[in-house]
Parts: sequence; C-alpha cells; structure tokens
Amino acid sequence: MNHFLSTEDTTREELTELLDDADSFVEVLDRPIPKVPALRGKTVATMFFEPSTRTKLSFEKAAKALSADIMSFSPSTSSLSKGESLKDTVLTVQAMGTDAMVVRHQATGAPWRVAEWVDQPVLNAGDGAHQHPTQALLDALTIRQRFGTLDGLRIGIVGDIRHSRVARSDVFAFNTLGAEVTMVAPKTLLPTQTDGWPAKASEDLDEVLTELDVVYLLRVQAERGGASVFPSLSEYTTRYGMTVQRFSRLKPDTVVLHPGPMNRGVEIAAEVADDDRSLILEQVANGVAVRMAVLFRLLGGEHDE
Amino acid sequence: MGRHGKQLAHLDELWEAGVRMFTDDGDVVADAGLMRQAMDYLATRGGVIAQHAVDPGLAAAGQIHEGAVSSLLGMSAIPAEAEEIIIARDLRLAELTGARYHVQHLSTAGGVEMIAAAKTRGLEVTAEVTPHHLAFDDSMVATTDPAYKVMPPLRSIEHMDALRAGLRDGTIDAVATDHAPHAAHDKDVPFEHAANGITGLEWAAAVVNTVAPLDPVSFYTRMAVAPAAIAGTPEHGRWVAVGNPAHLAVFDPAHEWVPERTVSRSSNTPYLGMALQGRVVATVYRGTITARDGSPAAVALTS
Repeated sequence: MNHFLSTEDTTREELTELLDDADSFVEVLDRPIPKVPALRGKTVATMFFEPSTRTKLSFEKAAKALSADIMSFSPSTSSLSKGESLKDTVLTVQAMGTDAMVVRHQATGAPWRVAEWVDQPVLNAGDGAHQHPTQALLDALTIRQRFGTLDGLRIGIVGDIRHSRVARSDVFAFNTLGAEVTMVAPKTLLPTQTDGWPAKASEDLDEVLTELDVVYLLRVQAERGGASVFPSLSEYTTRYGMTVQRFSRLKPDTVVLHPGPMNRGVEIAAEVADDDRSLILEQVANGVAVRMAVLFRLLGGEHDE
Repeated sequence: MGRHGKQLAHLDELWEAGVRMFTDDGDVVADAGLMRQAMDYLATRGGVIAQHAVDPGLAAAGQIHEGAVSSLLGMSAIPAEAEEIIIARDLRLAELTGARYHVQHLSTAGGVEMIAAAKTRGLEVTAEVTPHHLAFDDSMVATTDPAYKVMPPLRSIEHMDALRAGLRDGTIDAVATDHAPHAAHDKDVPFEHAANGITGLEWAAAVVNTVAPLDPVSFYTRMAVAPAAIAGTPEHGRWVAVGNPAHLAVFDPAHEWVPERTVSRSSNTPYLGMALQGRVVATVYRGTITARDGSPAAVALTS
C-alpha cells in the first residue's frame, strides 16, 4: 500500500490487517500513557482544504499517539487566500519535510492529484462526495467489535447516499468484509446508476427494517439543497428517520451507527442517539485507532511497542 | 448577443460581413422563443443556426456524464437527456421555421437517432462530432484526470458506439475538433476545478481513421467537404480538381505511430501516447506547404 485513497480497490486481506492493527491500537489508547513511539521522528501533515473538526482532530490524535509530529493546515489561514494553487501548496509543505499527507478536499479526486505531485504517502480524509476510506474502517471496526465479524451481517445504509462519501466508502468496505448491504433512500438521494454496486437499493425503510443487523444513518445534508431532493425535513423523518417507533421494531441485537454530526430529530431521534445500541461514540473513539493503523502501515513504522 | 441568449445578435450586419453560421457555442440558446426568432430571421437568407445543445436546468453544475462513472465518483453530472431535449425542441422549431439547423459536438445516441429521423423527414439538418467523443467513453473520467474534462462530457460506451455508427452511415455529416487549448495551470488542478477542453487538431484525421475508419470518399467528405459546406466557406472542402484551390491535407492511412509531442503551445490533450493509424504527412495552403512530418513549415501566408 503506497497511499490510502479509496475502499473501492482494497482487498479483504488489506482491510482485515488494518482492522487487526486497529484492535491493538485500541488497546494502546486504553493504557495510562496512550502512546507508542512507532513513528517518532516522522512528520504528518494534515491538509484540510475543506473545514472539518472531528476528522482532523482524530488524525492529529492518531499521529500524536504514534509519536509523530504534526503540521496542520487549514484553508482559512492559508496561502490559498492569496491564490496559491493546490499543487504549489502541497509541494511547499512537502519541501518543509513531511513524511505523509492527510488530504481532505471538496473536489472529487483531489487526493489522487496530490498523490501524483508529491513523493510520499497520501491519505484521503474525504474528497467531494466520493470517498472517505478511514471512516469506512472505523465503521467496520465498530461493527466487528460488536458482532465479531461482518460476514453475513445485513447492513442498511439509510439517507443521502448520492452525496455521501461515507456511503460510497462503506458500501465497498462492508461488502468486501462479507456483509450484505442495502442502500435505503428516496430515489432523489440514491446515485443515479448503481447496477454494478455490491449493494441492493430500496426506497422503503420499513420494508427492510426488521431484517437489518446494523442500521447506518447518514446525515441529512440540508446545505446540499435539501429542498429540491425531498419535499421537507419532516417528510424525510417520517419516511426515513430512525424514530423511537422504528427503533422499537428492530431486532433486539441490531445496532445504530451514524458518522456525525447528527441532526437530532431529523435522521435520528434523540432517544435513539442516546441508547446503548447506538454506537456513535464508539465510532468516534475507533476513528483514532484506525487512523493510527493506516498511518503505521503507510509510514512503515518499526514494531517496537 | 453577448452569448447571453437574451436577444438577437446583429444578424444582418454579420451576414453582410460574410458570416453564414451563427452560434452561441460554449453556451446554449436556452430560450425557445429567441431560438425561433433567430431561425425565422435567417430562414429566408439561408444561413445556418448551430446549437451547443444542453438544457441548463438538467445540466445544472454537472461536470461529467451522468451514469455509472458519475455515480461512483459522486460528482454532479449531466444526463444525455440534457442534450437530447434541446435537439428535440430545436428540430421542431426548424420544422416550424424552415431554417437550416446544425448540432455542434453531438454526444448522445438519442441525438443521433433524432437527427436521422429529421433527415428522413426532409429537414435541412446537419450534425458534427468531435474526435474525442468518437475515441473515448466516460471510463476515462474514472481516474479524474483533467485531460478528459470537456463539454459536452465524454459519455458512456453506448453513446460512443452510436456516434461512430452515425458518422459511418452519414447521419453525422462532419467531424469538428472543438480544439480547446488551455494553459497548464488550468488543467494541473483537481478535475472539478479544471477548465473544459481538449486539443487535438493535429491528430484529428488520425484519430478518426483509428477509431471510426471510413472509406476514403466518406472520410474526406466528413473531414473536409461537409464542414466547409455547413459553414458556407466555398473556398474550402473542395475535391482535388484542376481549377480548385490547392488547400490540401496529405494523409497516409496506413501509417502506424504514437504521437509523443504536440506542436500546440498547450498540452491539454489525451492523445499523446495513443496508438494511431494514419497520419497527416503534409498540409498545403494555396499551393504552399504549410506543415510537413508533424512540424509547421516556415512560410509567410498572404491573405
């Protein structure tokens, strides 16, 4: 693995190895001193060209837990406002002496361009509505911790799949790890053509609800022109929201995931979000461990735990 | 006027100045009423209205063809219907007004079908296709390489095949390059921020001969005779005959080669490194060689 850009082309072995590594980093993060010297002397640049709080913090925490140094970039304080191109920006940062680059960008494919320009590993931290592969890893880890495996699990991904890099990453990762994935959304929120996707599609949440082992709720992105893709937020909640009533119809072991940030009362009822079977905070915690696993693998850190 | 699609250009003055082909290319004439006026105005004079056919509402901020590739990339996309709807509308207006109508850079199977039907009905309708829409489908876009970013977007293989068939059977009259040079810094960016356009004038004949080979007469007709006839430039696109102007391209259809450099000052082209069959060996303008073996000749052109 030279870069970590997408779950579309990762193998089951690669994903499993990363999840196994992440398991051991979960244990590291539980120690009184949650830190290993694996990447001491390495510098990780976090290049977030699109605003982010949790993913950026999570990557930075992961790098610190591996004893790497961090160079942090955010667009509001950057030379981008002076018109510097993406290419010049990443080459400039690389010239200062970085060993890996974590890139988030609103433009689809931007991390691939960066990977062509620089000569060090690039980690995709989210590009457009395309891919967000470390999110898929943390989701898979969270599910695996609960069920032991993803093999044979039925996972429903519910909501704005069309505009979701989380959904695109999860569909491929979950399927590769053996789960049976159903995408649930109104037609306006499904990708226009999913014939070749390793997932089924449904417009009716209530029809598939009771079969699911995992319900993955996507954030309603009201900022993405919600008005034209579904009639109203309340209509969305009525048809696709995880209400208390729907939650009560789930199988007793079924869990609920959400990538955050949540819109309580829209895609998820507050009571559901706070229930023990909602694994949302576990997801956040696991995010640090899986990002440690990816950084560790890409930077070839020596095993000296 | 001003390529805003709001009011008619000074068609009379342009006509007097020798213009025979009128277009807002780069933008569509979206307003059907304005299009009808332009057609009415030109119908009796005999000029041709050429359309960059795309419905702005359906296209919205689309970057690529809507289909399997755009669904995987999560990129906003333009369905084939955005082009087809405008062509359908314009064909009805052409029938209403009797105007000559030309579709620029046709990219859809539905467009090919409608133009074939319109020709059968006897309408004065023509269409062109670019070498890149004949050569590539949208699988090339899956890598998000900005070299393949162009409008209309590269479409799926079904559309590409229909364009090749349309060129072969004459539904599509002409090949037009839509040659669009850009500075390197306008393409050396993420796909969604890159400029639209592909260069390839120097390989157009070779590309067509490679991906959609035609018999020599059809080839010359689509590449030269028809474009000149549609655009109303009688000096060009003439058959080689005593007394005709010596504007020639000497083409060797058997030459197999791989272009490794461009003489364009821009390099936003996907053709470098592509195996081609056929090569323009020389070009001649008014009897003077203007290029030979892929390099421009140093000649002073007089007007």
